[in-house]
Amino acid sequence: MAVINLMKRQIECKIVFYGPGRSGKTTNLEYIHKAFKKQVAGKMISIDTEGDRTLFFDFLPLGIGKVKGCDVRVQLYTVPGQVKYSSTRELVLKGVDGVVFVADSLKVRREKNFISLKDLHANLKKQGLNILKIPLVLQYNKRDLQKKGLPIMSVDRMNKELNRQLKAPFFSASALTGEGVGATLTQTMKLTLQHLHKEFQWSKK
Amino acid sequence: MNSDKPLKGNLSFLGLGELLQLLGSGGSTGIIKLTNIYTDNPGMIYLVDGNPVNAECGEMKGIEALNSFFGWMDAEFEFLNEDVSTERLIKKNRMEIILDGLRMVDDGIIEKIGKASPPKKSNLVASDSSKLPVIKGPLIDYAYVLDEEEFQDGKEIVIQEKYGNWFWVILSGTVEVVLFTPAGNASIVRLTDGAFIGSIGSLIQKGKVRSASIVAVGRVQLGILDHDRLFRELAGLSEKFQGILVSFDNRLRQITSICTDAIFNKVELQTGLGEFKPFGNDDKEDNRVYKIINGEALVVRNLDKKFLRLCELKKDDIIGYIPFLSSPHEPHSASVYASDDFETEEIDLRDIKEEYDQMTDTFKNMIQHTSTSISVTTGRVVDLVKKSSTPQ
Repeated sequence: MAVINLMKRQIECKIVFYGPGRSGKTTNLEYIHKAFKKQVAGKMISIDTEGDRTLFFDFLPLGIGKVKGCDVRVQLYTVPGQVKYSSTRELVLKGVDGVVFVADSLKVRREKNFISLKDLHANLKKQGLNILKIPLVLQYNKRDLQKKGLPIMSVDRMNKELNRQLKAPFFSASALTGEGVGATLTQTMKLTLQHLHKEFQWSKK
Repeated sequence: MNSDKPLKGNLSFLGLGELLQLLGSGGSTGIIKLTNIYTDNPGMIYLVDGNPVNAECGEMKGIEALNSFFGWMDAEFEFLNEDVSTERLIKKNRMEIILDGLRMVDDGIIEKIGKASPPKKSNLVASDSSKLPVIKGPLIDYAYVLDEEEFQDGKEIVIQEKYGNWFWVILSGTVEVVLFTPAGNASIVRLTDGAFIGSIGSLIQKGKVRSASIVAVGRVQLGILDHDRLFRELAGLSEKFQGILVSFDNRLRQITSICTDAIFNKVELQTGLGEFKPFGNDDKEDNRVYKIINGEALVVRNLDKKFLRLCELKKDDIIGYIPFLSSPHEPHSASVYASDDFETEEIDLRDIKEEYDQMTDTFKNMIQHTSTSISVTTGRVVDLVKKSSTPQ
């Protein structure tokens, strides 16, 4: 749930990049941090968690204008993939407004995607949130690995297996090269703000 | 509330990470005082413009003290809004402190002090226009899905009285559990996304016929579950645990049959239970579980000082409440009455819980589904009987 900071006239909302370890969540955020430098506020916090890193920074989306006279500030987070980091995950997911699920296209990671998605579902539920209702975008990452001859799953198959019930917007991506990263973020922010409009019953304009 | 203490509460409700974020985004200056009944010393965190600059706990100071507070799960906190004149020992960014503190709790570097809160029970029951209860399942684990099958409206997926031990999970759509009887067709419940078709009991007791038909309502997509993998997992369970599952399955079969009778107004409430006497005490917190070794037991529901028989249990059946399996009847929504020659032996739930914790999620979900099905079908029987006994 977004926080309205009346002193700063700011609406702070939270978008979390979720997914199995090494699926490319941090690569997504690193790319955003580098490619959209002008929109990044403050430094990127990086915490070394086993298997991957937990990242955080503030992002000021452009072209949205003011909402109810307030600027919009988006906090972007990744969550540690490892099961044991439950306290970190709980804090990061607390009050989450939008989620990007970064799935690994590698065939060998098929099961890891299921487990992580189920974990997201359970963790959202703990916060009283419904995975079917929260703004959610799926990203099928590491598409570039096909060129290297590594076996990856087709987008169609991934969509059938991961997105059948969720029916969320989805993007193919290669976070390493930045392909699909901007589109994923833009769509997530769009859905998140639409959701906030509805939640706070703000007028559309 | 005193205006010098604008915020107070407990960290079990608002964690330290959230508290620091809250005071941080408001740019607050002051002192957070923490009182923990599990520690010798209180804690202090000094904030300037929303950022922690120092902390103290006994001999500990600075970031070391602040980090230790992330393990204080049940401490009382109080924020004192006042000027702070302390040495600036902490220079890390606020979010970095929070994320790193929680990481250290998860890594076991910071000790957790206090008690944790229990998990909430999920709701897997809904309703649709058929007015039948609809049982949903949790999110599907595709790792167990071998193949997919599609059935059109009205097609029988499982046929009553036929042999078969295929298992499916509903990927999308709705099915109806129907019993065909000489008196007519009885629709028991509906199942939808994530629910299972096929009982665990049939994995254990081979050669059992299907007790009901499953019919597609509209177009249904099913996932065929990996039977061998499920069987291997089941075979790895202790005899005791398998016994519990068979007993659950037995209850579901019986209650489904009673539900059919209730649909055709053939269930009558009883004023007495003959030789059967109440078993155990009325303590709803009594979590003991027993295996029947001799005699019989009746599981009944009290309705207007009369008895509604839900099922009859015999040797090797299980009675009692198993919290982690959400066992459906006694002691909360039914009572047990036992015959004169009734004998039981207690089952140690610690062993069962240990086995349960090792299970895969799909298996846990299947047990949960059986349990939910018993509860929901029982609820339907009670509603039908109440309705038919109320004068129109």
